[in-house]
Amino acid sequence: MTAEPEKIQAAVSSLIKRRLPKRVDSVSVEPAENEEGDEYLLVTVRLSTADVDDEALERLLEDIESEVAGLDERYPSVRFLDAA
Amino acid sequence: MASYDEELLEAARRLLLRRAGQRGRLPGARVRRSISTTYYALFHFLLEELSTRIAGTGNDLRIRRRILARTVTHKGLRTALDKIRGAQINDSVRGFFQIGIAGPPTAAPLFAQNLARAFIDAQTKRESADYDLNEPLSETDARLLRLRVRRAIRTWRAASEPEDRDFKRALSILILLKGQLRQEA
Repeated sequence: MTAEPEKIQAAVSSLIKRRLPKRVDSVSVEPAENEEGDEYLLVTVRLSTADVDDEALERLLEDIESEVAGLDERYPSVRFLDAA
Repeated sequence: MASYDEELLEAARRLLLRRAGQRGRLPGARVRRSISTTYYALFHFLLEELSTRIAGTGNDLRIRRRILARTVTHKGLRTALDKIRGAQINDSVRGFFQIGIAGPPTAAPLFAQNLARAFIDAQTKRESADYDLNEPLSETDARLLRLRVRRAIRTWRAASEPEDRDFKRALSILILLKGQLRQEA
């Protein structure tokens, strides 16, 4: 089961807006490959503030994984880009 | 005495420390080294788990454990753990986790799912950290990964009911078989 990156991106963006309103600048989802050639999804979340605690980000990361698992069997590797 | 995985997690933490008064971003090399070290903490924890669960814990079995651990591959670990990370155990291995006549479990116990997800997260980020400087990784990623791996190991260690121990042993065997029970298409 796979889904279009745009569909996953919309679902992840909606989840993030509910969990961390106004603290995220952008979200992107794109397919990538590991060293063995297996596909995974690279989910990049750019934070707009450094004022988000690790516990909230840990929960968010696991919630994103669960959200994506319902749409796509590829593993989502979630990366947070620190606020500038 | 700290176990090797604990020593590595501590090393990963120290790589992210700042000197007094130091501000701004940490050097990328330290962030990437921390991620790689966290992955190896989990990798070595799993080798230790697998070798003691299959070969036994006696001092006289140390060489057997070492030989067994050397047969484990990064790819084999990923394949096996990928099959138990989701809400349902992959059909190709589900029957292997059955005890008695109650039928195979639908999902892996939570402690095992958490460890499997933490492993795949760590391995994917470690590959980016070591081999692909174009892929983004931040200090936040390194910090969160270390916390996740530490929590996954603690939760795994705390699961000690008979059915937990049985699942761990079955998973250890599956890892040794590189996640494949029979020829799959």
